[in-house]
Amino acid sequence: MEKKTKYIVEMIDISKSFGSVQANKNVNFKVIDGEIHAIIGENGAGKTTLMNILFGVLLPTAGEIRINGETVVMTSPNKAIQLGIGMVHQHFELVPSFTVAENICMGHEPRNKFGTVDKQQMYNYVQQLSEKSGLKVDPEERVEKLSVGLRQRVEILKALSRGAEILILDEPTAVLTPLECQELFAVLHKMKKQGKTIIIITHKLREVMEIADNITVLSRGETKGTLHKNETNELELASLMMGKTPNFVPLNKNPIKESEPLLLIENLSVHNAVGKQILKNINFDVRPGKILTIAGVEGNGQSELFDALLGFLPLSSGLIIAEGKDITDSNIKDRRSFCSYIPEDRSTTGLDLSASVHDNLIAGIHCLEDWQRGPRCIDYKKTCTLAEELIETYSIKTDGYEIETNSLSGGNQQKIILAREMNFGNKILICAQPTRGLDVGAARFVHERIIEMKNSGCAIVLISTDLDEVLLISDVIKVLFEGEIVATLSPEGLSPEELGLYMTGAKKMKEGIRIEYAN
Amino acid sequence: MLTKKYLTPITSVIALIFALFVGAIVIALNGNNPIAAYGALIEGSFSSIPHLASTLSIATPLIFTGLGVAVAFKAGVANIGAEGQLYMGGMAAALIVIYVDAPSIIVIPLALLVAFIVGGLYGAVPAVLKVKTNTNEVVTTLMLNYIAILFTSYLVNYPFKVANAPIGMTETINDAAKLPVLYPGTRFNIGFLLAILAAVLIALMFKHTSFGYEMRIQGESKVFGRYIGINTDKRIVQGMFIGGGLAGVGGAILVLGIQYKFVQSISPGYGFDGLTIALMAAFNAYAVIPISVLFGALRAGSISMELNTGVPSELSNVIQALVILFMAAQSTFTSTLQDRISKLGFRKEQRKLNEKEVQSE
Repeated sequence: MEKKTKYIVEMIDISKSFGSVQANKNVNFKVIDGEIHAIIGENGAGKTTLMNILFGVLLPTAGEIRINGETVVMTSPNKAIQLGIGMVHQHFELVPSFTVAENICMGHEPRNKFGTVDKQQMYNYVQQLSEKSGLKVDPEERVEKLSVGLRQRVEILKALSRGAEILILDEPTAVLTPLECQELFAVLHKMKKQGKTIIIITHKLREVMEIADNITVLSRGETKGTLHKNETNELELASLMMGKTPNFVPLNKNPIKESEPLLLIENLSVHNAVGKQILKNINFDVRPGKILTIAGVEGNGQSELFDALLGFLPLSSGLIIAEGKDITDSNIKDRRSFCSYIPEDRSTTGLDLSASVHDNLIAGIHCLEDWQRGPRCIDYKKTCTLAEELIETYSIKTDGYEIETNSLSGGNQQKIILAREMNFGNKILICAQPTRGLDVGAARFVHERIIEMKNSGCAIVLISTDLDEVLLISDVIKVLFEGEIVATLSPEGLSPEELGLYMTGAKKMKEGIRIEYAN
Repeated sequence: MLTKKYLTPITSVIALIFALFVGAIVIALNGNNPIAAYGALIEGSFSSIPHLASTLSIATPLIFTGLGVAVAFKAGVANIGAEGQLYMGGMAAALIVIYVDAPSIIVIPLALLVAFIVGGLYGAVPAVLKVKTNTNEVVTTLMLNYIAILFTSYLVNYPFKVANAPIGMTETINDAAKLPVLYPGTRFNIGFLLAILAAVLIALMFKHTSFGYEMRIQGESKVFGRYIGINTDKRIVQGMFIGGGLAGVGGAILVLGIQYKFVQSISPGYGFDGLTIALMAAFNAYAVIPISVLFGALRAGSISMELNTGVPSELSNVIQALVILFMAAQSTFTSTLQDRISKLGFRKEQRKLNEKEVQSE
């Protein structure tokens, strides 16, 4: 009676180790033909490694891969493509100055009788492909002019044009706005109806429940089980992922005492290199024990705001006053004696990945007299003890402080930044996208630390595009749209939908009055 | 596991072995016996104390230029200008000792100090251009080499020329200004000890001081350096000043310890050798010393190789060029190597699995 399920992908007892680190340990993973299958797990759980093995980028140390029931050895991505597997990586691999169609057809361009590229045929082909799959793009547009969401479509189309029947998406929603996510999910559903199989790597549980049919949970390189969407819930998935039942009680917020602002921003304006105004008359103040969130869709001036507060970008006008002192013209080193900074881009700005964990942890205090001895030498005895303490306190998973930072997972790298910046003991913290790309556990850890700072009387500016985060920990929300603050809101009783309307500019508020625009 | 960090010294050695091997083929194609030629090369560089002394005295300026390049690269600046910095430093030292008549204890340190400052300032010029106008330092340092070589050549051919000299040169320096010789009968001098001292100081600076930490960190990642509050522009200029200064002292040692005068074209490319040495040493100050000695041996031994076996001494240039070539292939080489190793491992596993299946059947 039992209907035999047809598995299109079977990965049996896959193990993969990098040196002494075992990224995958006897992982078993099966995908039914025509389903949307999610792989979830914390950062460093081995999700991407597993998919890179399936796509032939990495060779497993042991194990077997079956496609349509036949054992195959995935020696290269080309082999995987031949077998109908397509992969959209987290970081796009597109040529920005080429058109959409050129990017999609690269390597298998249609030729005319002279042997040169037949552009017309190429554009027609991409147009048809785009219409058929529901991924609407303009084939003649240059990729550099496209938004991140559209670039992702180009990547998916690229995979489809190579005849992909099985599509792997690595963290596809990490870079998308809520609206773009919805569009992507609609497209994925359509592709599923057309008979494609989709494997999606993610760590956002809400999305998993929304889109996936079956869910495989990975934890520390091992499979924790495959569950059907209808037979599970977010809480169960989260506990499987983290190995323990997470605590979903709301983060403790202390009542706020009114006092003088620690950070005051007045009429801050910034122009970019070609003279375009990026930020227009930004005003806000943050009092001790408060978290002020700058919410907004990416590209509305958040990065520039952070850079201006840090001192990377010169102000065209305005004042920055920290603890009553004007730091508008101060250099970064002086600003850092008042403010701690967690940058958006942790791999290039926040860390020196080729330096050791220790060197990253002591950056900033290396030049303070307390940590020196002799002729301006760093007191290594002291700093190494500190590094050990910080690794312990912030539970940074590393084989010691002398390890190259590059070898740590994203979540642990973020913990290094967090540990360093909080160790300064400053009263002001300015953080941008502190939980982007982190899994539930790590993100929660970051939130707890931020709340801890707030409770100890610090003033915190949080720049975020993550709706959930904004609603979870803010005291005041300011919405940044096209370089202007268009709304000041309280998180109490604010729905994600309403916040989304402000963020996308569909709704504006001036002088405390909400103005609705007919759409 | 083989990581990139560990592979650099290994690939340096592999590059050298390959270079010597290809060099041997070149010798053989010229109708000579490669073993005899290399034998003569080693004999001419290490076989006796005088030979060793000449190897080490050639190694001395190489250590300085090698360190000069290494410091600049660590600070994130590609210094191709050690040759020019060496010429300017050497010229400055020559002029000091010619015009300052004082006992050794004063004139030698003074000449070395001035050589350091002049070489350093000459190195700082491209660094300032880089931070102020974003000029590519590879281009500017390279061009400044020719300016320095031709400028010093002009000085020794016109304003400071000695009458009746066959080529442009200054007058011979006073005995008081000559660097004390360590082994009588050779020109192996205390410059070598200074070079070792310089290497140790540079290594200590990077390892222990806040200044060295900042220099290193901002050299690895400029954005991170700025974000953490390091004045990266200042560190770049300082790094190039120290680097240029070290190369300048190398020039001073050529003048005060080997030639006893400034001759036009005083350096047979020690500055460029310094670049190769620094790359082979992966910018590690200590590693610069043995590699410089090796390059010194190549130069010293190649002359007796020519005398004894008839193989032209230019072979040492060929070998050095080959080392650079094989070093350049390093990145491709290491990645392919790692790829091969992992694939080999995988095939073995597969074979084992297959064997198991066969057995169980």
